[in-house]
Amino acid sequence: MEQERPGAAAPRQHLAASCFIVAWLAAQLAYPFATKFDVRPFGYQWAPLSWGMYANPNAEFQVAMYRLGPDGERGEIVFDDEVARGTPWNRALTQGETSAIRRIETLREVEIVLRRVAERNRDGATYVGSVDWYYLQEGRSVVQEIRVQAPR
Amino acid sequence: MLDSWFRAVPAYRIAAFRVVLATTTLCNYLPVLTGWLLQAAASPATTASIPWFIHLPPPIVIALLLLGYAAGIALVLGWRPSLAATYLVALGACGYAAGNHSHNGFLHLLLLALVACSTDGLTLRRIAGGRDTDAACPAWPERLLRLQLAIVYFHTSIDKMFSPEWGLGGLRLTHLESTRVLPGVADLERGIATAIARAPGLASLTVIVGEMCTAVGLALRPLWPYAIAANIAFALALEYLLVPAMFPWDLLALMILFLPAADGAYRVRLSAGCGTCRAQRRVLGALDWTRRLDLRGPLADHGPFCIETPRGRRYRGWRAVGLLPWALPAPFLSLLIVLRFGSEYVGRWTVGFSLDDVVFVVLGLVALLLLPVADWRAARAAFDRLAPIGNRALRRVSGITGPADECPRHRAGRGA
Repeated sequence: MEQERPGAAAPRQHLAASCFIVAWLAAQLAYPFATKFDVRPFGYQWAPLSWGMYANPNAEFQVAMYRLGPDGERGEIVFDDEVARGTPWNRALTQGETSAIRRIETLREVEIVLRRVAERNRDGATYVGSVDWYYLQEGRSVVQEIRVQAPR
Repeated sequence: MLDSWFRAVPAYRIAAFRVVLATTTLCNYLPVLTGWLLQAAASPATTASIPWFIHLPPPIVIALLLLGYAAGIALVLGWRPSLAATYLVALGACGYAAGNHSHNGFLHLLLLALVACSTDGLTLRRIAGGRDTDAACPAWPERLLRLQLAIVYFHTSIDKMFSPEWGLGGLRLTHLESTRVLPGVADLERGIATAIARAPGLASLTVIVGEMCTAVGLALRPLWPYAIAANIAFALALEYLLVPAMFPWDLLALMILFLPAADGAYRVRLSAGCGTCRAQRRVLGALDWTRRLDLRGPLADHGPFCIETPRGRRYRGWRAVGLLPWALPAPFLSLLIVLRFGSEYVGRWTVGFSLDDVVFVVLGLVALLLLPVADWRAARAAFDRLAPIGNRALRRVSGITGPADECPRHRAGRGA
């Protein structure tokens, strides 16, 4: 046990510091719960990639993935769960709507799926992932596109 | 109830932690912020997280960032550390307000905010230069930092319990991207990734239970030894397999706050008159930021370079060298952090990919030094050959001139 030394906080500083300590711990314990659990009805408010402590559910997004032919026509991408391995995207969820917590990671995972499809098909086509972000606080959306060129 | 939070504790612990945290700040936190804020300045149409966010012109943003780097350096040196940490928190908050998000960066920001509360008042010059052991400060900032780590583990465990990407399925772990390049290091990574992919559910469950147990262990002092071991293993595994930048290094830096300080528990056997021993004393003293070494004695009649642990166990030769990172965790971590991010930046710049595998080569070598293999005859012979070279370098670094070999060991021209 460490011994008492000169340098301890002065008593009049105790109150302010105590308030800070209590407020800090309360916020650190309660805020993540508030962002992750619905109170009524009580339940976990799951969002993909929200497994970190400091979730930031400030946007929703919708993902569309398609193939762009040589003359610019759009075609549906056909892929299976093997292509989507390790990502949240599968055949049932190529177009979905959910909270965006980690935007860069989401884009990266869409890119992984597109690269695997492009690698599998090797048809020289362009594979596009379009992510439509809807920012809740401002009520406007921004579209980001990822393009992957398939080899021949 | 909070009285014990205000008792005085050695200030060296939180000061050493601050230096390590500031090293990460300079190596990774500020470069990330630089990217965020310059991007926001270059494209004012970028969506901010808060509606009242003001997009500043690039010259002002550059000036603020340069001030941030100055604050990072001030934090390392211990010049107005509270002010510097507060500025870095504000700069980070601007980065988040500009519409960016990073779990790892947010933890770092919180740690900086708590470091700003510390009143240790120790400069790097005093930490590394003096042999004083009487600096003290209130305990509550470091207690909050410790609890902060426990809270992070608690919440990340809860998240993984409910997330369909973790849970008993372990979907998240079925595909781990390869990032390592060096032979051996990359092979081991592939082997681990394959093993995890074979039983992702078990790996996921291990992580969930491990994180919850670590959270409990970090919050309860009697369980600290287990929690420290679990945290170090988790941080290294995370860095090895997922390379999430600053997060594992913050986890490791926080371990300094769980160790004793100013106790001189590791006894190093050095003599008084020998120039080589004085050089070793000076260099070790400069690295002993948490005042864990007793460099006073016994003064004479010593064999090979030897350290006696707090439990009375003696490590000699290579094994004593391998023990130094445990006795001097703060400078060792700072060095690793510089090596980690420096090798990444240099690698990307020169060969197009990160060379941060070198960190694990260093860690592997240090671990090897602690194993009994370091006591084999061939290893001892190699130590006897290399030690004089190392001692000459130490004398040069420490600026000690004159007769070097006053003690029996160094007079014989062998040993460290």
